[in-house]
Amino acid sequence: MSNSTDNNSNVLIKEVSADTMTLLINGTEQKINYQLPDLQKLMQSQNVTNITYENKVYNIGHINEANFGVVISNKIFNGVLTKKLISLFRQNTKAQLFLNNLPEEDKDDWEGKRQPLKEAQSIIEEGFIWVIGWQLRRLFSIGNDKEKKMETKIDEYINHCFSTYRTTFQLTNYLFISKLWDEKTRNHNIDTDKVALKNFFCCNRPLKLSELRMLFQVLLEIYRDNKLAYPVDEDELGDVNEFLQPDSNFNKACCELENLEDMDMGNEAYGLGHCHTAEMSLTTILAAFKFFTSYQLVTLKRIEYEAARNSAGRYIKDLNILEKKGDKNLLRYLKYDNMPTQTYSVFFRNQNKSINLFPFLLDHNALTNELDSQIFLYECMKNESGLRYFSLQSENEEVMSYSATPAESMEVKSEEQKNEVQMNIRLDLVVKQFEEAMNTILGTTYTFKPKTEKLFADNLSNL
Amino acid sequence: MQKVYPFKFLNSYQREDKDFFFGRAEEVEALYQMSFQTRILLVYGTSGTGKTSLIQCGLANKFNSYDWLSLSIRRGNNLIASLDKTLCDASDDVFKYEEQKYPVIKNIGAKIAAVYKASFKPVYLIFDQFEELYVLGNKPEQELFTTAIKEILSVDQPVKIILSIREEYLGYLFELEKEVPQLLRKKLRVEPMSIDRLTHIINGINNFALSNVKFKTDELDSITHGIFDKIKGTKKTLFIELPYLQVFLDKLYFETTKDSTHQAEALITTSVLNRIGDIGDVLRNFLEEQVKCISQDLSVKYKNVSIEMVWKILSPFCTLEGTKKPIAKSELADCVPGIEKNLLDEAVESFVNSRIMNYDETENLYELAHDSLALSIAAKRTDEEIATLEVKRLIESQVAVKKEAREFFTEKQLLFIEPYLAKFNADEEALHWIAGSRAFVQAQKELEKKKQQEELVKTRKRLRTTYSLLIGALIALAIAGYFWINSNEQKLKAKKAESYALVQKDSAVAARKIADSALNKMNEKIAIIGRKDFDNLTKRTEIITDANGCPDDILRQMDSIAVGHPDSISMRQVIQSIKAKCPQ
Repeated sequence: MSNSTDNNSNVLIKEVSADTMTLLINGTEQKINYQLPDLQKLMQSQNVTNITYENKVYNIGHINEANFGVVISNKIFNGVLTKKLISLFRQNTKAQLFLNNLPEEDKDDWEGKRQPLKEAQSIIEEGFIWVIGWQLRRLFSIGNDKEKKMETKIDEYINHCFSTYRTTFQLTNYLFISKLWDEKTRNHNIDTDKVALKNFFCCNRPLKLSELRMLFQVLLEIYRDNKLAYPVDEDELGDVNEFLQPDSNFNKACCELENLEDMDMGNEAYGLGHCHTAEMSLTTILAAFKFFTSYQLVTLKRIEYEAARNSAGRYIKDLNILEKKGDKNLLRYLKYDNMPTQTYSVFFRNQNKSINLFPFLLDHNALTNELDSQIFLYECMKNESGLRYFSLQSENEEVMSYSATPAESMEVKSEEQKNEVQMNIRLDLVVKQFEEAMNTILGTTYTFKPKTEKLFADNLSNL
Repeated sequence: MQKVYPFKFLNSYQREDKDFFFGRAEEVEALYQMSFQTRILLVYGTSGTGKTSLIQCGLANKFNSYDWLSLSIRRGNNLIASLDKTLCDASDDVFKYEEQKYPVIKNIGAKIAAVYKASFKPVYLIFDQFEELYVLGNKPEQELFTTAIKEILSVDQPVKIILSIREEYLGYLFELEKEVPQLLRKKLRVEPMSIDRLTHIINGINNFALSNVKFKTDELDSITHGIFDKIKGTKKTLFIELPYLQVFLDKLYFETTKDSTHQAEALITTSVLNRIGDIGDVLRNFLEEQVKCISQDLSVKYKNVSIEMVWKILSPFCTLEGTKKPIAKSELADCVPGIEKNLLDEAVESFVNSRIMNYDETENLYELAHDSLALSIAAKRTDEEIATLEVKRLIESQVAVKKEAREFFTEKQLLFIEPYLAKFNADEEALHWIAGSRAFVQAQKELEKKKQQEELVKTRKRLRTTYSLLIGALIALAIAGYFWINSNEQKLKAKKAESYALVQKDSAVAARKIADSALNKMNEKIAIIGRKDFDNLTKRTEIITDANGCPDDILRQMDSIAVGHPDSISMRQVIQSIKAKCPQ
C-alpha cells in the first residue's frame, strides 16, 4: 500500500495491512485493528469527522461495514462494478478472451489498471441491453474522467447509479406489464387490483426508486399467483425469491440505493463513501438481472405494405437494432415477409422471445419520421391529457399530449400537411395505446382528454 | 467571486463561457434537438454570425460533460491529415499519428472506436470553417474527405458530425451531398444580429451578477438602439455583424474605464455612447489603428518598418477570397521574403497582443482572430500582391497532387508564374516542378519544331509533285485547246454543209411532191380505167354464171385488176359473190 505524507487536522490513513491500519493523527502515528468500529471509535475520541486516504477525503459517517472494504482497498470508480459484471459474460467470446489474456500478475486486481478496466467496461457496455448499456456508459465516463472536480464527480456518479437503477427497473416493469396486458386481454379474471400498478398508470409524478422496486415485486407476485409464464424464461430470470424476500442481498442493495436517494440534500452532501455504497449496490442489482445481457432492443421505424395482382402481399419492415453488433456494423435491417406486425414497436427480443414494449418504451424518432433513434421511457401521467416520458439520450422530460387528431379519410393539400397529420395521429396512438393498456389491466374505463389550445377552447358560446 | 469581463472581442465563446453567452437560446435548442435526429448536421450563416460560438458554447453546454466529447477539426494544411491527427491524439495512445506527404486516413472505424472507448462519451466531430476544404483544398483532398465522411456515418459507434460553413460556400457542398444525401436534411442557419437579439444580450449582461460591465438600467433601451444604430451607420439593414458589435462593445468599455486589462468595473451610459460619435467602419478602423501602432512600435527598433510593411506581413494570413488562413511563423518568412526573421517574429507577437491574431499552441499556428479582419486585410492588397498569391496558390495546388497524377505547368502558366517567383520563397519541390515544367515545355517545343521541319520537307515534296502535275495539266490543256479550236472550225464547216444539205433537201422534197402529185393523178386515171374494165368483166361473168358456167379466166382478170386498186375490197367482194354462184 502506498503512503501519504500530507498532515492536516484530519485523520490520515498512512498504511493498511491485512490486520491493522496505521493512522497519522496531527503528525503522530497510531496503529489500530483493521476494523470499522475501532476506526469510528478513534475518530469520535479525536472529535473529527473526515478521514483522508490516498488523497481522497471520506466522511466517517458515510463509511459502513458494506463499503469499508472498498474504501480501504482504495478501489477506483467502477472497479467493483466492472469486475463483477464482466463475470456475467463468461459465455461471451470477447469477455473470455479478455479474461484469459490478462497477465498472470494482474489476474486478481486488473480492475485497478486503466487499460484492462476500460477494455472490460467496453465489453460490458456492449453486452448489456442498450438502455442499460447506455446508462453504464455514463457511469464509466464519469468514473474515468480525471479532469472533473471530485465533488461533481461524486454527485454525478451517485445520481447515475440512481438513473441506472431506475432504467433497469423501468425496463423490467415494462416487460412484465406488456405481457400482463396481453394475458389480461385473454383472461379478465387475473387479479391486478394492486396499488403499485395503479400508481404506475395513474401517478402524476415519476415513481421513486423504492416504488419501482415494489411494482416489480407486485408484478412477480401476480405472475406467480396466476401461474403465468414470465416474460423471460425462468432459468434466465433466476431465483424469484431473491427478488421477493426483503432480507435478500438484492433487496438490501436496493434499499441502500433508495436510502441514498432519500437523503436530505439540503443538509447533507454525498461523499466518497456514498459513492462506493452506490456502486456496490448497483453491482448487486445488475448482477441479479443477468437476463439483460442476452436480449436486444429493436425498434421498428416503419412498415410498408406492397401487393401485386395475383400474388401474396408482403410487408417491408424497417428495423433499427440499438445494440452494437461488433464488427458487423449492423445498424438497420430491412425485412421482407408476409407477417404483419404492430407499427412503431420497440421489441425486447432474442432468438426465442419477442415482446413489444410500446407505448411504455418508444422510439420517438420513428414516430416523428426522423433518422436515428431517440428512446423515451414512460414515467407518469401528465394531467388528463398526456404522458410524461424520459428521454434517455437527452436526460430531459418530454410530454406527449393527446390531440385527438381525426384518423379518418381526409383531403390533404401538401406533403407537409400529410406528414404532420400522420405524425399527430401516431403521437395520439401512444396515448391511446397507454389508455388501452391501463383500462385492460386496471379494469377501468378512463379516457384521455384532448389537449386544447386556449384559442380553440373558446367556442364563442357567449355570443 | 471575482467579476469577469463579459465580452469576447473577436474570439468565439467556449463551453466555459456559458454564463455570459446570451441571445441564442432558440437556435441552441433547435440545434440540440437536431443532434438527436441525425448523424450529420450542417450549421451555416454569413461570416461573423457566431456559428462557432453557437456550437462550442451553446450546444456544448446543452450536453452534460459525460455525453459530449467534441473534437474540433480545422483544415490546417490538409483536412484528412487534421482529422487523422485529431482521432489518433484522442485515441488514448491506441493509434499514433504518422505524418504523410499525401495524407490518407486508414482504420477510421477502429480509430473512432478507440476515441469513444477512451472516454465513453458520444463523439462529436466538429468541422469548423469547413469552407477551407474548398477554398484551400484540392480535388483529391475533397474526394478523400467525402469517403471519410461516408465511412464515419457507417460506423457503429455513437459518433456525430457537425459541419460549420459560411453560407456563401454552400454551393460547394453539391458533390458531397451527392454522396451523402442526408447532408442537408438537418441544417441550421445562424441568423445575423438583430435589434431583438442585441436587447437580449444587453439584458443578459446586466442580469449576470459576475459581469464587471453594466448598462445603466433606465437607459437600457436607448443604449441598445444607440449601439445598433452606430454600428449600422447609414446602411439600410435590420442586422449588424457580430464582430463589429464585439469590437464596438470593447471600445465602449475602454471609453468608460480606460482600462485595457479589463479589470475595472464599468457602467455604460448613453452619454458615454454619445461621446464616441460617428464610428464609421469600426472593425476596419480598429485594424488600421492597430497596424499603425504596431508599425510605430516596431520602427523604434527596425528603421525600415512602414505601415505598408505591416500590411504586407499580415497579408499571408488571409486567402485570396478574404478568409483567414492559419500559418506557422516558419511559413511566414517564405511568404514575405526580404524581411528579417526577428522583425517578423516581433510583428506576429504584436498582432497577438493587439488581439488581431490568435496562437494555437497545439498546432503551432497563428491565425487572424476573425474572417472579418481577413476581408479588411485582403482589401489592402496591391495588384502585385494579389498576383503573387494567385501564383502561389497555383503552384501549391499543382504540387499538392501526387507526382504520378501531377501535371506539368503549361507554357502560359509558366509565363504567369515567372515574374512573381522571386516575390516569395517557393519550396524545393515546387521549384523542382517548375524547372521540370520548363524542361518539359522546352522539350515539347523542340519536338514541335522537329515536327514542323519534317512537315516542311514533306510539304516541299508535295509541292514538287504538284508543280509537275500542274505542268502536265497545262500541256494537256494546250493540246485540248488546239483540238477544241480545230473542232470548232470543223463544226462551222459541218454547219454550212448541213445548211446546204437542208436547202438541197427542201428542193428534193418539192420535186418529190410534184412527182407524187403526178403519180397520184396517174394512179387515179389507172383506177378509173381499172374500174371500168372490172365493171365490164363483171357483166360478162353474169352471162356465164346465169348459164351455170364458171368464168374462171374472167375472174382471174378481175383479181389482177383488184390487186392494188383503191376499191380492191369491194372488188374482192364482187369476185367472191361471183365465185359463190359458180357450180361446185
